[in-house]
Amino acid sequence: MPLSTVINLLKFAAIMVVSLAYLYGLGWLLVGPLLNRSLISKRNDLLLIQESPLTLLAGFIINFGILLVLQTLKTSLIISAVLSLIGLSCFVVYFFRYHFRKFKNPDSTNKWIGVVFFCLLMIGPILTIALDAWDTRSIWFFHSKMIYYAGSIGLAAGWQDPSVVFSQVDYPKLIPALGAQVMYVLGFWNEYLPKLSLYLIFIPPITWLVTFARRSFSYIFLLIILPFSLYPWLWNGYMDGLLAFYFCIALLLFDRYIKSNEKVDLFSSIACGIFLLYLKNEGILAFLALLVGFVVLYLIRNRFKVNLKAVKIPWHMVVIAILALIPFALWWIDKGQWRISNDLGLGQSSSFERLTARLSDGSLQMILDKVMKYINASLNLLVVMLISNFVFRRPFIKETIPAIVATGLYVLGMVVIYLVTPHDLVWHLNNSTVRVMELANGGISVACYLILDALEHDPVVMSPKAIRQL
Amino acid sequence: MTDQKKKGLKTFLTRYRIFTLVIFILVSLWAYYNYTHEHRSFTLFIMVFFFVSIFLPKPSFTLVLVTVISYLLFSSVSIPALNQIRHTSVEAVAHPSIPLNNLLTPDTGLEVLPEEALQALSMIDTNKVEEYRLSPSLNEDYHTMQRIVESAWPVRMREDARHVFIRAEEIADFQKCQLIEEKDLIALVYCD
Repeated sequence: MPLSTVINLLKFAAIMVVSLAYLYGLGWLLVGPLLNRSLISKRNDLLLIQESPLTLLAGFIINFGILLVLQTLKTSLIISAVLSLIGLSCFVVYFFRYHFRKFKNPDSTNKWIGVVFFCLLMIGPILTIALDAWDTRSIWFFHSKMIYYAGSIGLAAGWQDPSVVFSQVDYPKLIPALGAQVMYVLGFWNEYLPKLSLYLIFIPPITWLVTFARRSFSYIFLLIILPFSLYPWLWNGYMDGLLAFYFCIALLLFDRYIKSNEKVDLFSSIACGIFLLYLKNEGILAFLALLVGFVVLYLIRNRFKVNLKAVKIPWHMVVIAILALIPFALWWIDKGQWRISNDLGLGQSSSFERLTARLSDGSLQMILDKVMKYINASLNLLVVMLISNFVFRRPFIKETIPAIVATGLYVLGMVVIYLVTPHDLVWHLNNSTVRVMELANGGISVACYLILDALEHDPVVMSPKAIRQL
Repeated sequence: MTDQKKKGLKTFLTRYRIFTLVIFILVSLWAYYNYTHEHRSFTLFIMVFFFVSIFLPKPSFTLVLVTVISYLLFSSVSIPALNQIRHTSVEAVAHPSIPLNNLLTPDTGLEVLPEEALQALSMIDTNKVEEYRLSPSLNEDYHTMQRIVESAWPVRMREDARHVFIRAEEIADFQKCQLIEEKDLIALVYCD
């Protein structure tokens, strides 16, 4: 291998390590107090692999929040780096006090090997392919380029420039901003490395996915279906794959919380839900759908009796959830001040007129046909799974309720959006349904996994004696 | 003989089989809908799944697994995804210098742009263009317009810019402007 390649490899490794350390340090400032009410002491018996993805996720949000407050890349990076160093120092103390010995535990080591393996696998498709797809160039990484050249996420970036009207400048900026920061530190722009932001954001959900590892067919199904069936949207620079991935992980973590009652899973699930808001505008719909799904399961489990006094929400968790939502609110305030509006014009009187017109002119049928075209493969599997459960005469698996309800609501919401779109309906459907329905496919696949997992571990299903009695 | 047949049929038609038969009929309707909506291979699997279930003495978990595997093979895009991972990873390992250079060198990755955008970019560089506009014909072609705007950034498109990118065949329409540079698809003119 030539020396220049070795040097480049070392440079790339250094960029990765510094980026992860920077984000981890920032995230620890929020996650340390959330999990342990301290930055250097431990109150819960958690594995590092449970804490790490949550910490990284918090790092992304804090980093974006600081940039939104300070606006300029230079100042925000300096302040964030100082804060990150503080967080990282505290984490190092915490790590050596509580995690260092556990890290050598074979179960933990195997899972970390799994994480590293998956992360290495994803380097190829994410980082060796240039920014090429349409929205990737015209929207997400164009915004990254605008921030990079202006050195600011503020108006100087050019959000009001008439020539960029096509670029949907109101879209969330977390990933574009992260891409711009990476390139700003390196001091140049190209069409490959900004995708590092995509890669970094891929790491937390893959880590969580590995924490579900066990020797079962259902887990192999999950592993094949969840990241890989989101192809090519997970690595072509569109946000739809990541949105679907985070949505699915939120559902899986919530399911694990229901079964194991580990609070870190609840925090992680909600954090994934909140993170949806930072990925895409559809994330707002997905987040609300998730919350409704969780509430419906809670109500069903409690036979529709709500005892608010029994629900004890720690105050520090509420404060941290609000902190995590601040950057989202800040971006909306900025957009309002800069008069950047969404192209869909939701809530305007004209959108209601379009809704009533399209309900009666056959557009609804066209929308439903298109939506069904892209979700009915996974829906088929869900039908098979539900009927299999029925054929085995097992009770309905309630844990699938959040996945089914949230996915259903999301699809319903998207149908309404298509009904009110000011764009030509055929054009809008042809350009977006295939990718926005990835989230629905993901949600349905999670429901299938939960049924498969329940059947696989059900002694009645697996015991020939009991089945013969049918 | 007839009694024996009746007895055999009675033994065959257990509660489980009648139940599965009813489900099979319902699933057939669902499968028909899917068959007409381009999900034919997996639809056939569903039909086979429930048809075979009728003849089995008890529900079979193996049959569920076969259906799931058939879904992964025929209806999900996981296999093409793994194929792309394999392809990109093998390429990157075989020739590591290429992806590393691409990642760490300024201005790489422009090869994905359409020829019109590449020619416009080259003329912006050569002629130190600070702002530009596009001819009406180029502006209406939103594929080309978007690629030029995003790739030329931070050089911005302005309505009152004097440098104008036009299609090569439009040169005759811009005779009042000064021709700065011409390539096979795009030309740059300066209009006062």
